[in-house]
Amino acid sequence: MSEEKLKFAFYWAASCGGCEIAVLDIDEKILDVAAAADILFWPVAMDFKYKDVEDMDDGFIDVCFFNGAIRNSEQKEMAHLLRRKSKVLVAFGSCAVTGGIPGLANMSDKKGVFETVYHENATIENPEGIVPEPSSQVSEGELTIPEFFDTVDTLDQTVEVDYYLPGCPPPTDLILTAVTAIIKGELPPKGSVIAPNKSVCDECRFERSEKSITAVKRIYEVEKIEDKCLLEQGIICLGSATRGGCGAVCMDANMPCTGCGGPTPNSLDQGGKMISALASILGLEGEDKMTDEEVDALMDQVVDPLGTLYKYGLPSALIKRKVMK
Amino acid sequence: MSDEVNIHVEHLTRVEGHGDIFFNAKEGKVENVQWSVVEAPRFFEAMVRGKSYSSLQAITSRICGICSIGHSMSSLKASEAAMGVEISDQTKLLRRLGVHAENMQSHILHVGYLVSPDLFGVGSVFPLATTHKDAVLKIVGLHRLSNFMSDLICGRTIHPMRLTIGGFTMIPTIKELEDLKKRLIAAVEPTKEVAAIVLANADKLPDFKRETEYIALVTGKDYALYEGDIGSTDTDPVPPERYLEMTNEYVVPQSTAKYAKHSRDSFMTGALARFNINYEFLSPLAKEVAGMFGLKPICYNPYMNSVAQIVEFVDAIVDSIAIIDELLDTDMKYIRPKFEVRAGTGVGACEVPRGLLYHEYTINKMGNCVKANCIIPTNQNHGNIQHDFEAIAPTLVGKPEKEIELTLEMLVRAYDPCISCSTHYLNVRFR
Ligand code: SF4
Ligand code: SF4
Repeated sequence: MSEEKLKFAFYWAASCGGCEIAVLDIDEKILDVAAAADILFWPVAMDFKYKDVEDMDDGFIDVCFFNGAIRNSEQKEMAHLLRRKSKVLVAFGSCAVTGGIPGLANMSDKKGVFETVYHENATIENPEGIVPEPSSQVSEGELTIPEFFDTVDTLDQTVEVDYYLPGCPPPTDLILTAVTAIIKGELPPKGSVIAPNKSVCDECRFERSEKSITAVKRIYEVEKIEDKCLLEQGIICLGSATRGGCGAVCMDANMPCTGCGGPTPNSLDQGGKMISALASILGLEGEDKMTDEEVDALMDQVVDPLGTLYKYGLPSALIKRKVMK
Repeated sequence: MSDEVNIHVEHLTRVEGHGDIFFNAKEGKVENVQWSVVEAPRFFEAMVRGKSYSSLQAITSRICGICSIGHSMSSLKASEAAMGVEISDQTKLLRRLGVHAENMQSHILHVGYLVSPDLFGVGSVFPLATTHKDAVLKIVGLHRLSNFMSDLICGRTIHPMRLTIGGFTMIPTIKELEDLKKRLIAAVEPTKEVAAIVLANADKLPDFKRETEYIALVTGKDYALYEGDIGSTDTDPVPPERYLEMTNEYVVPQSTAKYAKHSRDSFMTGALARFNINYEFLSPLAKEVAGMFGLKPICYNPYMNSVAQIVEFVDAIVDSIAIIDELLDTDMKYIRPKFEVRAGTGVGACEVPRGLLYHEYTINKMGNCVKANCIIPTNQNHGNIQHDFEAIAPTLVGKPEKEIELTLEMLVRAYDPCISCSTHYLNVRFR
């Protein structure tokens, strides 16, 4: 029986660790998973030796859940290694699926980032202007630090991905759905997003009535939140442009959707879809018919448009990054 | 075994740290022992630059999913200080509950899932599920309670959304708080049992001592977590605005992480530091649990940090019950935060599971962040780990390589340097 057990692995790249912990949040059920599958490694909870992975036959791991974006040479190398060693590779969480919050760094580049962190910060004493070097000599030999990239990539911009599990972090229910489907051998076709084919609005406790608004506000600027669709109160809510599966939990906390589920099914660009939604609720013509000036005027109302419309998805968006000077 | 011993322990994974351990000894003498931090830079300070005050908490929360509530608290406190936003007593009480919830979640995860496998001599928590099922289920139960509490107060355990500048977007009902209180009371016994299980195996914790400085928040009236001045075992407290005097970060070429020092070459922050500084304010029950382990201030054994975490877990339960009683005594009602955007600079200092966490923002009159600085506890501890290594290394010469390696790894793990570094996934190389 035991040789029929599946082999699972978890790995994190440019990640906050939240995705790893999210897996633990399935509580006692983790013991069921451990009964059905051998967990080969899982940074948050068990031993992992690079060499052991290297020594595995190709395809040895049945399913690898990979969280985090790709931001340096080591993460890229691990993505390639784990792709080779795994039959199924799952992009787990917004960072791996669409680039996530680390992807916001695409609004700057390596030079800008290093400047801020190692030189300008008031807190650091660094008169010689030391910045981390990819390799340095210590008495035991050479110590290497992964090389930092200019642009943050998603997992599928780096290697081929079989399934996507979005969310920041992915909701516990979706994690359970995915793991159960894998154990039962009932996976959807390759390339699928393991989340319902509907938008966050479809799961939201508020009803959208297509009413129009006159201006866009930040949540903090609204004096009293009424018990109705946040977008109709002028608050930017990405629910209609975002894939559901989360149960619309943010709206349950009176906060608007910020888009961690990624684009809705059949939509290429989450921000683009949101711009159209905003245009229509503001009573404008719709993005395709709007003049550039009209789009600009609309965007002027939105604070930090790139960071708002692509908060978790700049690397996977059509624009991908701010133009490098 | 030849005369020469070379150990290189390489971490592969990280959240906030990625460390290598080097140890080499020749003819009975330690030639070099080194803790090198090869952190993959996260660079949030650059990412929040230019961002609106309204998105700072949500972005900086993603620095760490394990202490995302703590990052949110420090972030909100920094924004509030920068813009001069006041919060109500009710908000403060609720935030203190949120801080407890996260400390409980993180401590039980560390002690239960990461340290106990060492004490039982196994590689991970999974084998324990068969050999010590009862204990594992208790640990899972306490973890679930901590998450339940985080969800109730903060909206979610990982990347909370109810926490906001000036207060909350939503608060729990009286009935929910009463329910939480019942569950907390019911958790006291299982917590004691988990403590007893750890105690039965505590002889595996090395008996090692090195005098150092400890830094933690102090109020002079409670076991400070949410707020306070920055206290030290060496010097008088200073207000949070003067945090730079306490951290003195510096850059070393072989590491991407910044190091910190204060009155000595290094200091420690975290559960043991808080215990050493604020012992007198612990509840009787927490003191009783500390007594079971013979833990008394000032304890100079870093391996006891995990025990201090158990003590704090117990204290969090007791204090949370008291906070809930206080909330239930007042007329709880929801008030939506209201404030003006103002230019200014502010510091938020908060005790999080691994120690003192600072955020500092400068916000301009448009409400955009023009400068940010975050100093995480893990980085403050790196220097201290190195000095502990130097002190313990000579006592290890001549021992079997496996034992040297485990002793050094357990030391790093004791600091709980963010889960990644907790070294259950080490690549060990002997050359
Ligand atoms: S998707 Fe969210 S929870 Fe997961 S690693 Fe990225 S930031 Fe953390
Ligand atoms: S726009 Fe937001 S608030 Fe409105 S229905 Fe959709 S998810 Fe709900």
